[in-house]
Amino acid sequence: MDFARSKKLLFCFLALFLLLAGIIYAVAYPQFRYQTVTTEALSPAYALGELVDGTEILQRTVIPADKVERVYLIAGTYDRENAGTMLLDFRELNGENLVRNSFEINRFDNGQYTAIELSEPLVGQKGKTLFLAVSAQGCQPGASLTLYSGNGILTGRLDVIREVAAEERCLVNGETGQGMLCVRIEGVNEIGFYRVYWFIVAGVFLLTVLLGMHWWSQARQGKMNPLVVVCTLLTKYDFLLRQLVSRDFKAKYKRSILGMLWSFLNPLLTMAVQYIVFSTLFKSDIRNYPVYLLTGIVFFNFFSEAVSMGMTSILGNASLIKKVYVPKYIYPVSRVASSTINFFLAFIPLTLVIILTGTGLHASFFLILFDVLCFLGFITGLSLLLTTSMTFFQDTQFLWNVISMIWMYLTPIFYPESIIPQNMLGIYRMNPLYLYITFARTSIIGGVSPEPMMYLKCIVSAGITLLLGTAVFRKYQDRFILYL
Amino acid sequence: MNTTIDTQMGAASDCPAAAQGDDRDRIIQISNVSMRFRMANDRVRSIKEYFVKRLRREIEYREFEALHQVSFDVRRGEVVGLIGRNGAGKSTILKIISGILKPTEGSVLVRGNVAPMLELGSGFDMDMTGRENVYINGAILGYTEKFINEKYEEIVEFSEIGPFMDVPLRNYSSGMIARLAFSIATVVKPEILIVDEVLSVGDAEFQQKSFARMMELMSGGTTVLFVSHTLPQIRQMCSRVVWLHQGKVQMFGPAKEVCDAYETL
Repeated sequence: MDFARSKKLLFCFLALFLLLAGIIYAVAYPQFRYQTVTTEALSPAYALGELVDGTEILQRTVIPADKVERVYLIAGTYDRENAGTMLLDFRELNGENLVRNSFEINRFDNGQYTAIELSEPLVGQKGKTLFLAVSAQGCQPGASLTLYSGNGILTGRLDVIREVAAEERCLVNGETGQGMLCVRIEGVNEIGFYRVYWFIVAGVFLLTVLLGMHWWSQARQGKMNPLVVVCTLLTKYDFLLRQLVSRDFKAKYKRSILGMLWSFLNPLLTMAVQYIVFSTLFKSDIRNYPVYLLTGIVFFNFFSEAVSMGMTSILGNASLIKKVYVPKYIYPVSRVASSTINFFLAFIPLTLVIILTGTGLHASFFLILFDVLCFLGFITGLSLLLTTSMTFFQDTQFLWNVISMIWMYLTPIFYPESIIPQNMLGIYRMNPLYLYITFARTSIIGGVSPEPMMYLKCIVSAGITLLLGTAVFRKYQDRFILYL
Repeated sequence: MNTTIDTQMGAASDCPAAAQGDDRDRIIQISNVSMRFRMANDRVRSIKEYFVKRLRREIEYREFEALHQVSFDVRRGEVVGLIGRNGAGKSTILKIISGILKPTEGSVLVRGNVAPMLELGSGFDMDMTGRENVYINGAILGYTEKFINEKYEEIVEFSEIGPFMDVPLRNYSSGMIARLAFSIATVVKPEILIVDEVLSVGDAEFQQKSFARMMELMSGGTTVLFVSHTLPQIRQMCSRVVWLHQGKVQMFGPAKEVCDAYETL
């Protein structure tokens, strides 16, 4: 082991860790401090009649957040110019008014949920049941809008109809109406994560340093440990690794005319095709469908390419393994590395589409770095696992083709998550690919950081897969040669 | 510079306790090495087949012992020959020494860099040019980038295929490929060189040239393990010879004695 260079690498690693922690904190601070919560949206079924002076609509509702900042209402405008003011009150059940907001009614889009920012937010009522009261001022019949009620929860294409108890229904001028008023209440809760963030970072840093020192002293005595493996890989075998990566990369486009250009063209063309096919189905449900689609495609393509290349790495390099001793993990690692270059190249068209569609590059784009690192760990682990299995049973290859297809359909690449039935969402969201792709979309399209839980889930799923893959690979690597 | 074996064998060589006195001189120590292969009747290659055969209890393993309690050692700078009939275990022991195979039993101690020449041209890619292949093959043999940059001209000159270096390997003749491979493999001066019948490369003239290169390496202090079926070559080059017969050491001693005994058989 090359101790001088390994030391440099260790310091680089620790510096990178701190840099990444700093970037994440700077970008994700609002999401680490506040968590946005929204109530479920109902699909409109019944018109409640024109909202004119004297009309009052009451809806019982449970306040979801510490600070209610926004209300979404759906209104029918009859496609005409309406004038007047809508009054939105939050009221105690005994009739005491807490907060009143008023705004012009001409701001509503016909038949769509429209956001209303509350200039007077409702604070400190989380979990309480209040009345939301809607009334009008200066709204004349023939020049006003109607609100809707409904009893189906909006889940994209299939609504879940739910039974609405009598006291939950909306009251129009004191009479019980059908269903509940179509309203979504959005607010923020303060979560304490931003306060413990640096303690966690410091803890992990300290643990890494301690573990590094422990492994360092072990390495001095000539014992094997992960540190030795990574350092030998990066110091002694870096040249071989680079050669293998460039071989894989060159071999891929060797006899094609457009060559590397395919790395850009491939995701773009896939996106174009899927956009044409699926846009009529899903477009209205998804904000910025082209970027949504391309993010999913780029991530999934990387996953499927890297894993299927990594899977055949041992068998594909059989002639080498039988003749020269080189640590065997080099082969899957080099395959994953060459796919990673492709993945980074695909970010060029992605950035282009982001700019062309006017999405804008947010600071949260940098959070992708964290996402990609976890994703890489996950893919490497899976490749190690599958290449081991592949060496002993070549059926793995065919089995994988089927599994990766199922996996593709189980991941929201071209469809919105909202088409998944509510009761399946819990399981659906445990899919690691779902995590990595959603993380990327939140940071690219949403322009905000995902919630702290997402970070934890990403790290944990990557860590478990990587550990499992390494353990299995290590256990069986000496027997590979007998099966080649 | 070359491939060392960084499993417990390589690690043990860094251990100060093992490096005492006379042992330091023994660059390769092989003690009681046995290698057994489990040969299933028919190698099971699919999961379904595995379970079906397992249920029917059709999987029977026959043990095949390629090496049995083999022990010998090689001193620094020595040229040791390995002789024996086909299937005597010569290639197996070389693979164990170069770290490709792990022995079932026994221990192998290697104190130094091993350059394996079990087969020339490991990792040659037919779609790549000669130049690209020099780099990738060199990397596989454990050379550094700087080293190959320095020695590139020497490799090209020795292989005598200068004008073709930027042509894909698939357009080479087999002799050209072998010459390029030999030139890459011998450009370095490793501590231990493992040679498995690779001297019959190219035409007569190149064979002579490669023989001279081997002699040069050996006189330069490199320890060589040498497999050949050509006894005169063994007599000429080796100081000591291991005679393997059916996985066991039949005889181990000075080249002349062992070769004489082998010939009278």
